[in-house]
Amino acid sequence: MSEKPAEKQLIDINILRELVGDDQEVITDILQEFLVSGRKIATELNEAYKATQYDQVCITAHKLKSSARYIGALRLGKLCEQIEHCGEKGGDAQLNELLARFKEEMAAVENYLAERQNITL
Amino acid sequence: MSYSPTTNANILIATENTTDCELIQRILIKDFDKVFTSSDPSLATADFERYLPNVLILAFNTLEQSQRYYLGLYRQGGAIHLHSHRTIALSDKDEMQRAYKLCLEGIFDDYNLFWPVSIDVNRLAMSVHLALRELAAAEINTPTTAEFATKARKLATLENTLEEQITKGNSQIDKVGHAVVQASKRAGAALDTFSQRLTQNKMSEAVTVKNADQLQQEIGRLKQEAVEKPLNTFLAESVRPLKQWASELPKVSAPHLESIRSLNALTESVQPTLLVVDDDEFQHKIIGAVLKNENYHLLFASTGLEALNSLRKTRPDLIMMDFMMPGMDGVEVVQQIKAVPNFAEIPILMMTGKSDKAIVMESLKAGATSFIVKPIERSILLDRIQQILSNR
Repeated sequence: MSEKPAEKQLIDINILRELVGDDQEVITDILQEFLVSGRKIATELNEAYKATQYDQVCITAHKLKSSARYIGALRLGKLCEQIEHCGEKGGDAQLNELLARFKEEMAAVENYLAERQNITL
Repeated sequence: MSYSPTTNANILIATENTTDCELIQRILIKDFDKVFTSSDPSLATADFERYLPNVLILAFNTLEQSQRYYLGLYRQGGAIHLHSHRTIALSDKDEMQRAYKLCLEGIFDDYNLFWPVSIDVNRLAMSVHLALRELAAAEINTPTTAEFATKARKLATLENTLEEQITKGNSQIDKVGHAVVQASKRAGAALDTFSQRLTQNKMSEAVTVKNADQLQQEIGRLKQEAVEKPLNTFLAESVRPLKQWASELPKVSAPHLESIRSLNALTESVQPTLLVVDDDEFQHKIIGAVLKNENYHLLFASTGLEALNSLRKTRPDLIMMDFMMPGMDGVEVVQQIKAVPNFAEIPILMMTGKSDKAIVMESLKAGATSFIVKPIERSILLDRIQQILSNR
């Protein structure tokens, strides 16, 4: 299946293929799991930020960073890494801006995956 | 299997509520002779080690308290790691779903709806009976195939070791034989030189030779008696038998080595068990997918406590441990595992999203075998697992 230009920007699915192989069922299953767990972690991240629990911000961003990179959402992974570093410093003005960008990116990844999953399924 | 409800089983009720404690004790004492209580949290570990319960009943107001209490036992005591036991958490009706989930995750072995007290007053005693039956069955279990396979894989290295040692032994025997021959030659040459100096009257100040032929004959005899004969005896009685023994060793051990090779071939069909400890379900999914077509049996735990509980039931061939986890972090779990002699030899591969040196050093110091940085790469993970398993 040829990838759309938008997919290349948001998610490089070949990264996941290299990791788990070409089995479409496995890939679909993992992306589905990311949709569920990624949403949950993103909610936890926002809640931790609102509660100014910056250590929790770090932990959740750290967790999502790895997951995002596994599915090839490298831009999302990079944002998580930046949020993690910001959280380690106790949070600052940049964290707010990063979280705004994170929300946009996460929403785009979710939309893309939801669309892709529907197509595949 | 025969089973008596009034066995010597020790039952320990842990709670902070003395009224509940008395009630539970009254229910259980009808069936069990040894029902003890532990109601002072500061004595939790001491009480566990004193009573060594076969069944531990956690009767706290919330499941979170029960979890905290149980985790504390693992953190503070060594006895709980080694002592075979089952845990029953008492729950109220609002927490039943959570209790069910915690048991499925392996945090507790069973739960019992206790608040409000049910009309089925025997329910708790029945749970204890079942837990004891399960323990009794586990104790008579023979060693697992995986345990045999681990030992057999170790035996497989014997053939190479034996070959290496035989080669080394042969070389040493040759060296000894050569050294003795050389020493004899030097002794013979020294006697020849001595004989020549005497016959050429080079030692006339000390000795005068009247009959040179007779002297040479005597020295020749001496050479034969003192040098050549002992050399031949040594070569014939010591070196040659040793060489023969070394050359026959492969033949003598061949049937045994063949058995080891057959045994090792059988182990190929036994899947090594890997325990993956990570609080992130997505990581479970990824690792499961990466290892899907490999010959491994995978077990997953989401917390350190779940992992420690799992070890009491199944001994994995390798533990893959995340560093950053809530409750006990990965390093603390490694320390707990390595502190128990029965588990200390299980290799642990740390998986960390943070590659900073301090974390790596801390993990290795705690006893981890190796580490891998997340996000993991397929080939690196497969190689590392293979490498660790073959080095056991």
